[in-house]
Amino acid sequence: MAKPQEGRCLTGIEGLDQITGGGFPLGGLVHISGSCGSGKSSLVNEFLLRGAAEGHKAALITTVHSVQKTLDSMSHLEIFDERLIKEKVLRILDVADLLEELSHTGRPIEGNGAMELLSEMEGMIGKQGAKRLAIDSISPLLMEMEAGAARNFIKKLGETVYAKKCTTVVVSDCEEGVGKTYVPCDGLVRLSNIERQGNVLRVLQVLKMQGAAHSRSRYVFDVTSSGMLLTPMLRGGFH
Amino acid sequence: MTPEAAEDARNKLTETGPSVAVAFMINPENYFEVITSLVDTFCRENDLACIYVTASVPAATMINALDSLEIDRKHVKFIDCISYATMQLSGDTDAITYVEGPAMLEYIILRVEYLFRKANKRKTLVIIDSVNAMAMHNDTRMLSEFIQILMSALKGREAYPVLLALGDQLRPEVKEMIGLVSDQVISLGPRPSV
Repeated sequence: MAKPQEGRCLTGIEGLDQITGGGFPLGGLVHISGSCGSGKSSLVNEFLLRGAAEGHKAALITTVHSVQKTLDSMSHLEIFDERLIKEKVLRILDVADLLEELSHTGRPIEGNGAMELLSEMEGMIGKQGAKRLAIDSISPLLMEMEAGAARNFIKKLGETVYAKKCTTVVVSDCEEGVGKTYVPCDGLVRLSNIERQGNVLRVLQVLKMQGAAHSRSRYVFDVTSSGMLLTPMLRGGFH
Repeated sequence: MTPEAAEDARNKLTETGPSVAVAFMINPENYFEVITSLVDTFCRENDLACIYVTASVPAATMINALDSLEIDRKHVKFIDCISYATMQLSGDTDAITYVEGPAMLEYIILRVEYLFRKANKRKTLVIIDSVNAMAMHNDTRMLSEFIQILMSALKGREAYPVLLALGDQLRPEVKEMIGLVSDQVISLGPRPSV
């Protein structure tokens, strides 16, 4: 991986680092939003694996899939190395295990419970020395929280990871074409499935990347065993 | 059949060298002969890998044809853009990678990129077979953008980018487009008698 610019965290995903203007903001909260099957988890897995392969400790908090299922999907990538898991350079945690630790067990999670969960995450980042964190997906977690608690949780999460210089990616699900997001963030990447003449293309667009002159164009991408590959979406002369 | 067309194709590529986008205008009777000459003889002589993008016939058909001629094809990887349409996917996933259709142009670029990553920096001949077939499924402006981007990427990789076209069967605007996106357009056929 090339050397990052000051204040940036290179994702290691070829093409994405160029599109984002040099990677994600270091210690920033980056929101990956997309519809079902648009490639969100693949992007997150590769972000963590490429960092871990460079020795940047990384953690994934999964709220949707089991740890084993997440691990199995990661293992299809050529860059995956079991030693990263064994040596705890990359940790995968089920959010249920974190929630079990809370003394505030009520649902929906109210303010104190949300802050306690954040404290658990902060402890985990500190203990591991994680420099990359991902929450895949944040949607069910926020849905379990009271409205005010969810907003405060995200705000405090951003502050926490920034203080620890732990670049964090949160994934959220949105309906195709709607793309609403309520997650305040330093970076916003939208993934979508676009139909063109009956063909469906997976498309990535960077809508926000704080502190960077990033591309705003749309890129078609493919998820391969070598990782994510991107190319500009063709416009057929219409610019 | 004109055996000199195949020889001319090899000679022209040798002359131009890598990083030059070459379009060969071929007659139907020379078509397969030129293909085998490039895939087999030219690659062997220059120790090249080959990426063969087919939008005209399924890769499995090409493989059968090469096998029947006992042509070594270990160095050839196919990007098949047509078999999804006929629902006839071959099991040979080592040699063939599929794109859902000839209009999925970005995915052809990405598959080429993927195969380059796998090729371990070996020099590569990339054949697009054929502009005629691609033009049936794509708007000319879209196709010209695709070819220009692909050719530029291939030139940057010091590959040998080759477009194949049945010259007599091209629409005028497609013919004009080939002229714009190629560095050299070469008509292959019988040599003029002296």
